[in-house]
Amino acid sequence: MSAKKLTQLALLTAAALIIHTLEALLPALAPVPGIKLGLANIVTLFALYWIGPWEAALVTLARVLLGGMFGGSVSGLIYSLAGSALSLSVMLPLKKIVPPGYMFLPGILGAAAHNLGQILAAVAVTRTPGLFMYLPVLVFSGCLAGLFTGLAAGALYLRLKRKTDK
Amino acid sequence: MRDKKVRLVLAVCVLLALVSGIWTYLSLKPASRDSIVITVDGEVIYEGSGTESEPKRVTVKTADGENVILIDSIGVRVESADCPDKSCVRMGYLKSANLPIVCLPHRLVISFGGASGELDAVSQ
Amino acid sequence: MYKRVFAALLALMLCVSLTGCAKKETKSVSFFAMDTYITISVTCEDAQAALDWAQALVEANEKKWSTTLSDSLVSRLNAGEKEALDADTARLLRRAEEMRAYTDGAFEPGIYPLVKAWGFTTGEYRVPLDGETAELLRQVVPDNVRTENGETFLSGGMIDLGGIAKGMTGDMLTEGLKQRGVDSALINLGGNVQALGAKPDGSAWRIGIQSPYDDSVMCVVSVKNKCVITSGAYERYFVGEDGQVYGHIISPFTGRPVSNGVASVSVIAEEGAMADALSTALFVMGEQAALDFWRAHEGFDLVLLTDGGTLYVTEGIWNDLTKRSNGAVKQVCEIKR
Repeated sequence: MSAKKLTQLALLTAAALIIHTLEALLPALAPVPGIKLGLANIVTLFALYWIGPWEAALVTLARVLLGGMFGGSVSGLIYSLAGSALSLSVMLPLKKIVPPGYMFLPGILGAAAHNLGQILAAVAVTRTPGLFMYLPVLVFSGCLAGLFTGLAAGALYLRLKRKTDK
Repeated sequence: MRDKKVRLVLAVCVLLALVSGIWTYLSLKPASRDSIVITVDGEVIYEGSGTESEPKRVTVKTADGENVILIDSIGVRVESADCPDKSCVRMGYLKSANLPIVCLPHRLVISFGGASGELDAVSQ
Repeated sequence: MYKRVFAALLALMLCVSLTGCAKKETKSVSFFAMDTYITISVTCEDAQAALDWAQALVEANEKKWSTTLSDSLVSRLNAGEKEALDADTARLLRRAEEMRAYTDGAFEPGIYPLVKAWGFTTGEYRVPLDGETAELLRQVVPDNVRTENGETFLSGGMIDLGGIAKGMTGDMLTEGLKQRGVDSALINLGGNVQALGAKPDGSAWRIGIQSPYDDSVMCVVSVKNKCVITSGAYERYFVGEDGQVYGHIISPFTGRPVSNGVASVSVIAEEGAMADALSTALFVMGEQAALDFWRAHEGFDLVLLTDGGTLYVTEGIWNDLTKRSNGAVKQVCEIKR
C-alpha cells in the first residue's frame, strides 16, 4: 500500500473513531438497545465511493475494533461486528448500481442491515428468540438513520468532488 | 439502464421503510400484565405476576453483573443495573408485549408471559 | 401468456375448493357433574358431537358410581344388594382393587364407613371418639367385591370409588375420543386434568398445580398425553370444635384424616385411574414413604409439597416443570432414583 493510501485510510479511520466516540456520549434516542444514529457510517459510505470497497471495509473494521477497545465494552464488539458485516455486504454491491448522487439509498439499506445484524447476534448470544420482537423498530429506525447518514455522506462526496476536480 | 436499477433500489428502500414503520406501530400495543418471565441466557430464572400489591424486588446476579428488578402495583421495571449503558433502566416499565426489557451485556430479558403466561388448566 | 397463467390459477383454486378439506375446530363444554365443575375441550372435525358424547358419558358414570346418589349402582351395592355389572363398572372395580394391592392398602376403596362417619358425605361433620374409630376401622373390609353367577355383591363393608372414579372417567373419555379420531383434547374433571395428545398447534399442554393455601399456582408442568391429578386435604375439610382442621382424605391405617406434613401430592402419569388412586395413596403414605414408593415403582412422576414448604419433584418431570414465584414453596428438590 502506498504511503498516500495508508495516510488516507488512517485519516478516515480516525475520523470515524472520533464520530463514534462523540456519538456514544449523546444520550440514547430511545430506551431500546441499539438505537443510535450510526453517524460513523458516514465515513464508511464516503470511503466506499471515494476510494473503494476493500478500503471501506478496512476502515470500518478498524473503527469497530478500536472503538470497542477504547469504549471499554469488549462484549459489545460482537454486536457491532455482526452489524457492520451485514451492512457492508449490502452496501458494497449497491455501489455498483447506485451513483454517488443517490448515496442515501445504500445508506438506508446499509443501516437497516446493520441493525438486523445486531439483532441476529443478540439473539444468538442471549439465546432469546423473543428479541426478534425488536426487528420492526430497529429496521425502521435504521431506515431513518441511514437516510440521514447517506445524505450526509453524499453531500460530503459531492462537495469534495467539486473541490478536487477544479 | 442504470436509472432503472436505481429506481428499483429506491422502491425497495421505500417499501422497507413503510413496512417496518407500520409493523413498528402495530407492535407497540400495550399488553395485559398478568404474568412476566425473566430469562438469562434464554433460561427462565423467574416467572410470576406482572404486578404485586407489595413492591417486590428480584435481584439477578450474573457473571457479568447485577440487575435489580422491581415489580410493583404499576408493573415491572429494572430499578438498577451495573451495566455500562443502563438502557434497561431507562426503558421504564414493561409496556408492550412485543418489546421486552433487555440488558444485553447481562443477557437478561424481561417479557410478558409469552410462552409461559397462559395456562391451559390447573390441577387441584 | 397471461391468459394461461390465469387459467392455471383458476384451475388450482377449483381443485382446492373441491377437495373440501374438512376443517378441524376447537370447542369446549362446561357443566356440573360428579360433585364438581367439569370442562372438556376437543379439537376435531365434528367437535360438538364429540363433546355431546363426552358429557353424556360423564353424567352416566356419575349415575352409576356416585356414593351420594341413593339409587346409584354403588349405593345399591353398599346397601347389600346384588347387581349385574356393566363392563365399565366391572373394569372400575377391578382397577380399584389392583390399585389397593399396588399401594398396600394406602388407597382403600373400602374406606366408606369412615368417610360416612366423619360426615363428609352429608356435610354434617363430626369427630368420632377413639373407641368409635377402632370399631369403624373394623368395618373397613379390603377386597370385598365378589361375583357369583354374573351378579356382584360386597362381602361385608362398603365401598367408595370417589378416589378413582374421576380418573377412570378421564381414561374412558380419552379412549373414546381417540376412537372418534380426536388427537387433541383437554379434560378437566374438577381439577383432575387429563390431556389427550398435544395442543392443536403441537405444543405441550401447560398445566398449573395449585397451591394448597390459596388460588395461586405453585408450578407449571408441560405435558403431552398425560394427566396431572392432585390430592390434598385443602379440597374438602372442616374445622372441629377443638380448632383442628380435618381433611377429607382419611387414612385406612389410623382411621383419622391424614395429617402427616404433606400439603399436596400431584401425580403425573398416562393413566388417569392410576394417577387418581395414587395421588390419594401417596398423600396417605406421607413424605418419606411416598418418595420411597416412587423410587420402587415406575410409570409415574410426582410433585409433593410439604407443610414446611419443600417441593419435591421427581426427575422424570423435572425438566418439564417451571416453578412460579409462590409463597408456599420455600425450596425445590429434584428426586432421582
